[in-house]
This record gives sequence, C-alpha cells and structure tokens, in this order.
Amino acid sequence: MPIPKPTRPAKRLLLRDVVFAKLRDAIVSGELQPGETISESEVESWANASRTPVREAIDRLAAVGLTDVLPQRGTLVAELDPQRASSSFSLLGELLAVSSRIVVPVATATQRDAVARRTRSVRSAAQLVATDGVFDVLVGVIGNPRLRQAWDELVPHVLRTWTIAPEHAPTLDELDLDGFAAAVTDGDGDRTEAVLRRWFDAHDAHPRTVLDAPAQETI
Amino acid sequence: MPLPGSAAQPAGRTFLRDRAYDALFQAIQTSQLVPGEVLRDDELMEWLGMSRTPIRHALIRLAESGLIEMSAGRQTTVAELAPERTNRALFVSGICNEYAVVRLIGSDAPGVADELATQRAEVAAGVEAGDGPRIARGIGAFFDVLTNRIGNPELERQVRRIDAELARFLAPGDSTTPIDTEWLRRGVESVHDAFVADDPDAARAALRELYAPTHRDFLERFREPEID
Repeated sequence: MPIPKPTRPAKRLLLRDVVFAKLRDAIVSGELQPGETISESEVESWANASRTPVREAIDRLAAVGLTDVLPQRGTLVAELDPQRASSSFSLLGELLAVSSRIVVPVATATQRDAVARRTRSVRSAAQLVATDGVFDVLVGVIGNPRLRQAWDELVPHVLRTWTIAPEHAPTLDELDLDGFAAAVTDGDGDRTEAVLRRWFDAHDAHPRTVLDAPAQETI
Repeated sequence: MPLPGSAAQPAGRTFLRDRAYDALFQAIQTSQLVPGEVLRDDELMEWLGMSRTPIRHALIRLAESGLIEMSAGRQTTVAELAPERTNRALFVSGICNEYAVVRLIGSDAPGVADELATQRAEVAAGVEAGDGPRIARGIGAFFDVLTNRIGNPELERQVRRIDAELARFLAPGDSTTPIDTEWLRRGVESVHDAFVADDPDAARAALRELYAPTHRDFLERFREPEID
C-alpha cells in the first residue's frame, strides 16, 4: 500500500484509528466491495491488531455509514449510496467555500503555495478531494480541526462513489483551476470562494430545498 | 470518582449503548461529572448496570464529540471546558447555517417564516430576561427551523452533532468571554429580515456579521494549520 506523505502534525496514533483508516481506505478504493462481509478475525490478522481496537474501528465505520450491521449476517460494506454522496458533495462545497473566504487572506505564502502547486497536476474530480489533493491541503491550511473532522467524514462517501461508479463523478467543467490558483496565491478570499462555488454549484444535484423536484440520480 | 445515583433503568427497546451514551451525556451536561474527572470502566459498569462493550461504544461516541478525552496510554477523563473547541464548532455551525439560509430563501416553504418569527421572539425574550441559556437555545432553534427543511441528511447529521458539542458549553460554569446579547439579538433579526425580504446577499452579510467575532477569535487564537 503506498504510504501517503504526511502533511498533518505527527500525533500519537491509537491502534483503532490506524485500523479504521486502513478499512476506510480499502472501502473507498473498492478493494472491499459493497456488500462484502467484514469479519473481525480476518481484520485482526490483516491489520495485525487485537480484538478490541478492531471492534472499535468496525463500530466507527458503521457510525460514519461505511458499513451496515445486520442481524444474523454481521458487518457488511455498505452499498453505494449516490444520494448520500450527492448530499455530502453539496455540503462539502459550502464548507470549503466559506472557510476559504475567511482564511485564505491570512494564509502564509508557504501555505498558499502548497495549495496552488497542487492544482497543476489535477486531471479529475477525485484528485481534488483525495487525501493530499488540492482541497484536502486547503482544509489543512484552513486549520480548523472540527472542520477537518466533518470533511473527513463526508469525503469517503463522495470519493467511494466516484471511484466505484465513475459515471457519478463530476467533470472539471466550470472549474477555473488557474483562476483558483491565482486567487489563492493573491490571498483573495472572495475570489477563491467564487471560483469554488461556481464548480460545486455546477455539479451540485442536491435539490435546493425539499420543495424542489425529487433528487436527481447523478452528482 | 464520585458517581451520580444509579442510572440503571429497566431495559426498554433502546440499545444499551444508547442508554449509556444518554446517561453519560446528561451527567456531563448537568456537571454531575465535572471536567477532568477520571472515568473508569469498572465504575461505569457498576453505575450503569451493564457490561463493558456498550460502555466503550458510548465513550467512543462521546470522545468524537469532544466531551471526553481518550488517548493512548492515558486515563479517560471528562474533557476540560475548552474555548477553542467551542470556537471551532461555532465556525462550522455558522457555515451549516449559511448553507441552509441561502438555500431556503425564496422557496416559500410554508410555515418557515412564522416558525422563525417565533424563535426570534424567544431570543428577544431571553435577552430581556438576561437568560443566556434561553438565548442560546433560541438561536439554535432559529437555525434548526432552516436546517431541518433542507432535506440534506448529511447536513442534519453534522448539525445534530455540533449542537450536542455546543450544548455542553452553555451549561453553567462556562468561562468563555461574555457575549453582547443585544448584538446577538440584532444579528438574528437581520438574518430573519433578509429571509423575509427574499434577499440572499443580505442574508449572507447578516450571517457574516453574526459570526464575525467567532471568525476573528478563530484567526487570532484558535486556528491550527496543518502546515506552516
């Protein structure tokens, strides 16, 4: 498994967090398929961990909606839920746009550069939201651990749907990547917000309100 | 640790883990369990009258909401009142509210304007009475009217959790800086006026104003970037 470059402060990791991250990444990448059974004993040997942290990690997967616990059948990888991915995507856009407006103007040159640099190699929507992708780094620059927590809960639903069912992934149409990089580099919060909103809004299929037409199938 | 009287109750249809969570949440909220207090599995098992597994479930959920601290090689304790947590949660809560307000403006959702007016009055009454928790509940309820109408389950999930995190800090004994309640009242009124006027730009501006102190404190004191 490729080891991601650490961008976050090193902190003492709990074994259950490590097991959780391994399982989450396997579900997001499709290595663990929707409907597949997750057996505690197999995870114990796969992750080389004991029963308690494995159980706690599996519980957390259920709490964030990546697994379902069914009576008589145990823990199964949740089926793909494009609706949930769509709701998550919609909220991610607001979280990123508003907090960028607030923080980009005070970010250091190094921080702005870290974000701008990553825009150069972007070829797909998945690369924007993936770990260490442009938006992930931007969330790190924003520097609100509570926002990070919400972001990390929402992103797996989006990324997993786009990976396993690429027809749901948005295109990069309406995304002005150069304009985005320039706005961030200039420390212009309002412009950064505007570029982000334009892309998220263009691909946000979540109904504007409950009174609108039924939700569409695609993101 | 001194524990409140027995919380064991006849088994209903709820999961044990949910009962454990509710009992612990209440005990923390009402300061029966105070910041810094050590939580030991065996004592909790006796107090709650259940086995370790549901209690561990509950503790993990409480830790995720920041109400308790669990870290490797250390005792589990009730989290200290931490202004940075309140500030960071308010920051996210404000964005969720902005999402809801802007999306509902102009939708003519039936009853929304009336429900907002009711909560606006509740906030005003809290200000008149100098009742902080009442003001806070009113503001929470004001925005819940909106977030509950959007039909985005992810938004509802996040808002529910953040409300739970923020509720703790409205309990007596919170040491965060005093808040200008008149100014809060005006903030809520501006958001409501913009909503009634179907003016999304004015609503965004009113929300920015309402959350300006949160943003200022965040940038000056509580921001913790992952890279320098």
